[in-house]
Amino acid sequence: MFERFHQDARDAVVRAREETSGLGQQRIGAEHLLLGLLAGRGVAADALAAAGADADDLRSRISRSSRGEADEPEPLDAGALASVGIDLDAVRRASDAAFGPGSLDRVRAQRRGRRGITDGRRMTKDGKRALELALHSAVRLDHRHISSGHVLLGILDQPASPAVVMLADAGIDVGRLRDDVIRRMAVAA
Amino acid sequence: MGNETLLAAAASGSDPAEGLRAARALRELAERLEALQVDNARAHGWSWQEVAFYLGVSKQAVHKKHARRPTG
Repeated sequence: MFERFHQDARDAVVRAREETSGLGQQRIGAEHLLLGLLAGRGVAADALAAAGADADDLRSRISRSSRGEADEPEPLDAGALASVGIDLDAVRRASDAAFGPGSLDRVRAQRRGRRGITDGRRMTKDGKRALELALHSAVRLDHRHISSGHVLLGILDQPASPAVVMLADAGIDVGRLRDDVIRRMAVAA
Repeated sequence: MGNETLLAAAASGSDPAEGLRAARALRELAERLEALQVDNARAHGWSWQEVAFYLGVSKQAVHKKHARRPTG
């Protein structure tokens, strides 16, 4: 489904994956997509910055909200691997190229006793939904491609999602942000 | 420091903590690479029998280890 995604939107998804594994979490949610958008360039990053969204603040909110979701693989010990001549970054690059970004850090190497917490899906429901809604808003606005702005709309159009709740908790006027994204996309088009 | 130097240092090092930590990290890395490769082979339509052959284990062993593992 990524064919129609602009580079800035693809980059946001890749960064969202990195943020997810960086936070030691398993699945990419809309809130991780927000982090991915914030770190990028383009309409979404500009609108989020103008609204006062802050990546560090959001990251710590995500981190706090997911306490207890601890069924994560242990991080690989890069230092210990280096001591026997393994360059973990090189392995990771090869794994990313072959199996997708973050694959090495995401893979469930051994079956755990507690099944069902991570059921193998790569994105949470609201994460997936954000991308679907991004497509919808591109169609609705008669845009040929899906940009970071559409992805942000896809996130904002799920008012009950943790991502939007976190933005609101951070003091961001979500309705105004949404209007601003649409306005910026019209200018950029 | 080059990889050879590091390897020699770790191999000849007498600090058990360092050596054990390296062994553990290697095992974890190997498990993950195995999981990724098994998932990929299965996605390519390989049978458990074929996967087991290349891993050098029994079909039962590979099935038990990987069949119910959630795939990324």
